[in-house]
Amino acid sequence: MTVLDPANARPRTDLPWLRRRSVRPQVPAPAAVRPSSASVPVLASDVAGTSLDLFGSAAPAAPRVTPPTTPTSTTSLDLSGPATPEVPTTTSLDLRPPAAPGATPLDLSRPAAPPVPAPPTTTSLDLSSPAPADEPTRPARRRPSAENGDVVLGYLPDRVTAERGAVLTAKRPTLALTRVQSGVGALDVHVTVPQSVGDLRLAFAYRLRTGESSVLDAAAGRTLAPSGSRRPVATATSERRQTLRVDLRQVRELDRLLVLAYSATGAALAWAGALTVTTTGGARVDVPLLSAPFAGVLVVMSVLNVDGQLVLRAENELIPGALKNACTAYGFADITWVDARTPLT
Amino acid sequence: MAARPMTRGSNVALTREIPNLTAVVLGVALASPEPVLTDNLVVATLLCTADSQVLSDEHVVFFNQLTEPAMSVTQLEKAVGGDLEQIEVDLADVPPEVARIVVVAYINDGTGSRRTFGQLREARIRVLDLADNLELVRSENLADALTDETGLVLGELYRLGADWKFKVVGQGYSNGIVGIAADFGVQL
Repeated sequence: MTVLDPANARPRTDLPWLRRRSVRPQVPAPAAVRPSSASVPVLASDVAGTSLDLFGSAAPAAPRVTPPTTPTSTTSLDLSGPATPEVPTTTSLDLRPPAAPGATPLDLSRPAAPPVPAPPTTTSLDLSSPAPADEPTRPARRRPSAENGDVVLGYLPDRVTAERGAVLTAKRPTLALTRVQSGVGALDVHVTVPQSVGDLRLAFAYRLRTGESSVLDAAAGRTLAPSGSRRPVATATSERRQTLRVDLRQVRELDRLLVLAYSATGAALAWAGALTVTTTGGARVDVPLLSAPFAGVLVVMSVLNVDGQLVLRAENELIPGALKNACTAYGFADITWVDARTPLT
Repeated sequence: MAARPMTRGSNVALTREIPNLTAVVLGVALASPEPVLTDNLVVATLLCTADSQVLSDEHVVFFNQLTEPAMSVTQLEKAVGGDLEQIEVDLADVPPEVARIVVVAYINDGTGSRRTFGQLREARIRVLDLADNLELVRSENLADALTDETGLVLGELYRLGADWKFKVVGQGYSNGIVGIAADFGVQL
């Protein structure tokens, strides 16, 4: 079995999941190497070259430009072939039937020739050349979809809509945003707490697809993820209220996110209030901060990017210690720490 | 080079003019000199019923959902050719409930920087034959009429009986994707 050279191997059309179009410059099939004539379809990379003139054609039924099916010795698909020197390649193709129908390999109006290469000896793209085959039928393909009853994400996730919000509790901790909700506009995460709680601050541990991880903390001045980026994936602010805004145009860069609540002074906070996640369309997910008063970091919610869908999960787990303990407990091992509450970048 | 660009509102009967057309590529070209705008341009394809309501949230094809359940409409991760985005449509595989395939573009406002399509230099949609990359039709430059819109319906492929036609729409939305989603029934 010889290894085919990708630069001039014939493309295959019987594998539907392979990209069928190519920008490779088209290699004219050498007539000398392949004695059995085969027609090679036009895979023109020159997109700006020819086009069909659909408006000016005098022929009422303008036939398509099909690969030449004549089993002649000229296998080159050069449109300015020797038999038709008058067909230029750079202007729009004139689809009116040429004056001498039998002379050109590009005769498109010949009724007898079927458009799809049917004669067994002239099939292209068949790497086992003696076996005749017409265009192989593509198997019916169906992508797994929750509507079809297929199981995706391993379970059927709850969804949220703009009309009906959701509250994540211990009984129902997880919710998945659709790919549309996860990819359009921005995701807004903010916390609403009463004054009685104390000096609650939010921090956001994140991990990007590249592995880059850190912790955003608006009060400490770390507001951009990745830090110093001109086009951050997520931005933390604390002007009016403590907020994280995720740019969903870059959701594919986001691997996961963790929302942490802690006390600036390390005091035991009387946790109360709720975290709210809002999509661009106004769909709201609330996560109540439920925990007994304890000094430590409350891991409120995690956001995981599962194949384009953002899965929100209410964690509500109290980790004693500082931010570093909470991040390590949740697997953010790629963060380098200066001290227990400050990452390196 | 196409013979004559299609103007806003015009349509062409694709499968009637080209009887053996099995699959097309919709190519969208959006060009702007401003990088913030270019970073946030999104092209989406909505598979709708005859009354222009999207079939479901899974029938929105864009960068975060590159294909629809029947895999008849697929957006390429990287366009092959001179377009910003390309969407391949396998006409025979399109589910029968889908009567319109609408191509829209919008500015994703993820960072709060207000950009509009007024700064767009070029906005075109064109139809290629998938089998041989030949350009069949292209629209005029739809960017000329845009000022403060942030959403744009470029064109649509729609059924007429057993045939497919292509129409250039060029309708802008000043409320961007939120307006488009409300009109087409997309759940955001």
